[in-house]
Amino acid sequence: MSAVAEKIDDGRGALEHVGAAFTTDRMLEVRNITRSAIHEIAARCKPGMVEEDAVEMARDILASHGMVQGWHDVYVRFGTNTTKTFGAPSDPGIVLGEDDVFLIDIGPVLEKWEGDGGDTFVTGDNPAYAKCAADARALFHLVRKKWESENATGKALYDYADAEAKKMGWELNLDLSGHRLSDFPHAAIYEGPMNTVDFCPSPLIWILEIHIRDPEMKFGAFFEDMLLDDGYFA
Amino acid sequence: MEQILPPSPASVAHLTDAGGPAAEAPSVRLVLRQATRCRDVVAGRGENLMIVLSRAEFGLPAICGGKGVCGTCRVAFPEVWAMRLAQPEKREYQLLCHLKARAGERLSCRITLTAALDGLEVSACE
Repeated sequence: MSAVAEKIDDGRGALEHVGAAFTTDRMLEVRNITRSAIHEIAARCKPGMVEEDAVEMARDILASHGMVQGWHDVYVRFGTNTTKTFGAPSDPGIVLGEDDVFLIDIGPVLEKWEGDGGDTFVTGDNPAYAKCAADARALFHLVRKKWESENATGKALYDYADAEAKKMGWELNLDLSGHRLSDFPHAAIYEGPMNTVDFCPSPLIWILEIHIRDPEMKFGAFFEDMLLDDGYFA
Repeated sequence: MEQILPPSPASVAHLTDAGGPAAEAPSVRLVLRQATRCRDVVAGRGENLMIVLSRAEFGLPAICGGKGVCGTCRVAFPEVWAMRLAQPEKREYQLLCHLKARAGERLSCRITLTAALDGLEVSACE
C-alpha cells in the first residue's frame, strides 16, 4: 500500500489531485465493500425478475451497507439492456430469462469516499452470453496488465482495449473509457475520461471500464474496477 | 475544493420537460436566495427545479445528473413552501435522512414546478 501512496504523491498534475479526506486505506476499503455488494446483488438476481425490481433490490442492498448515497445511479441491466451505454435509460419491463445475461454497475459513496465497480453475470448456459461476460473480465485484465507492465498512457490503454475487443469479436463502447475516483466528489477534480490522458494513470485513483457489445448490438457485458496491480485481484 | 460546474444539458436531458419554457407557456416565478443575493427567475410550468436552477447558475453541483442519488442538488424551502411540495418518495426521503438534511430541505431534482408553486422561495443550503 505504501507504493500506491508514493505513486500518487509523485506529482501527476491537476488531473490526479485528491481531496482532503483521501486515504489509500479508505479507498481500498470502499472498493472491497463495493465489489462485495456487486456479488450480493448478483446472487439475488433470478430468472423471472423484472429489471426495475432488481434495481430496487440493489439499492436496498447498498443501503444495508451504509451506501445510501451515490455519485452515479444504480444500474442493473437485463438482456438487451446490457447494450445500453452509461446514463441511457433502460427499456422498461425487461424480465431476466432462464438463459440470459445481466450486468451491474454501481457508484456508491460511503461516508466521504467513492466506490465504483461493475461486472456481468449469466443465467443458464447460453455460450455467447457466457463468452461475452468472461471476455469483458479478460479484456479488463489484459488492459490492466499492459498498464502495469508498460506504463501505458490512458489513450494507449483504450486504443489497445479497442483492438483486443475486435480480436475477441466484440465492439468496445468508447463512451465508457475510464474515469477518476477519489474522496467524494471526484467531479470537483476531473470529470473527463481516461482515454484522453497522455500520461500513465496512477494506481487507485482511476477506474478502468470495459463495456463490450456484440456486433449486432443485441447484448453486451461490462467490467470495471480500479487500476491496481495483480496483488489486488484474486 | 475547486468549484464544480453545473450539469451539462446532455447529462440532464432526461429531466427536460417536453413543453419547455416556451414563450407562450404558463410560467412559474421563483425567488432564489443565496447568501445576501436575492433574485427572481421565471420557469415553465412542468419544468424540473434542478434544471431551472442550473440555467439560473445557482451553483448546485448535481453530481449524479438529476438521478436523485448524490444529494448535491439539495436546496432549502421555508416551511410555508415546503408544505406545498409533493411529499418525498422513499429514496429521496432515505437520502435526506442519510445526509441529515434539515427540515425544509429537498432534492431539487425531485421537484416539478406546478402552478401551485408560483412564487416559490428557494435557498441554498447552509
